[in-house]
Amino acid sequence: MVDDREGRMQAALEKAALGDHLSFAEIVQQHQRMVFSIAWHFLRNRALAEEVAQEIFLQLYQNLSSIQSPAHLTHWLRRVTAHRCIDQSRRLKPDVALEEVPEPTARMQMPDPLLHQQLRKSVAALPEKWRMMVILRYQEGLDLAEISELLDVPLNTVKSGLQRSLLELRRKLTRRLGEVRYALF
Amino acid sequence: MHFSDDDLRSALERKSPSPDFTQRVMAQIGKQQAKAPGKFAGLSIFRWWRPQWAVATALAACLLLALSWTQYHRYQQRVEAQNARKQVVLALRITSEKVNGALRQALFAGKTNH
Repeated sequence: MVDDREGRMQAALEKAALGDHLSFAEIVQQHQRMVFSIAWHFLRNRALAEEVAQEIFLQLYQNLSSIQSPAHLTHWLRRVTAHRCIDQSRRLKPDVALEEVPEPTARMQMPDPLLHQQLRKSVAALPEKWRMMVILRYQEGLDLAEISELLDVPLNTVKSGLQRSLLELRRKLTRRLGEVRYALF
Repeated sequence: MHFSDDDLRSALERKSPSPDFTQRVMAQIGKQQAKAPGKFAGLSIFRWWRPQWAVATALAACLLLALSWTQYHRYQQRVEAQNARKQVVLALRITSEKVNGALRQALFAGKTNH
């Protein structure tokens, strides 16, 4: 099944490199959730995340000849998305309050929506590098070495960054959920 | 506040972009191609380019260079040969004039002794 998908993606890559638009559309469809989700969890702005994702796919179209395999494609997309998001976040002025950004409409039901909503908001408030480390670790399921390679930072920095991020998330959640409970009761 | 890794994974699960996202990307690519036809036309020419063609072109260029060098070398040899021949003819002419002069002097000296 996986081999079949890999084979299809390899064929799509080869055809897209020769200018086949349908094959490129298939590549976009296969990877748009990954790229958009990294951008959305990082930027917490749906329109901006879609814009960034769109730019990344345009960049991919111009660099198709350098992509050698489906695995290379996924790695390339994750790397470019991570760096683009960090750059975009540095350029952004804080005119949109992260806490007030609405959730995407097509959201799945979760066991504890309040906890998950607060978790997303707290992740979005982390410093840029830590935020991207948490997203790559928990959204994409990458190991520490892969994150270190993608973000061009030492392995120990990733380890300490993730540890400190989790501590910070616990601290923020305790404060926020405490406030919510106080308001409710 | 305690939360598990699974909570964090669920909170950060992948989301879908707008349903027309792919269409918008493809439309943007179409727009870019229309805006810069020169650039993309260049790319489409290079899509036909193969490394074997480069090797064949290089071999043809080398062959042409070798032929040109041989022709030039032959021309140079011909010019040098002509120059050498001219010099030999000149040298023979000078020698002949000197020998004639010497003979004339010898004949003149023989007549005056008798």
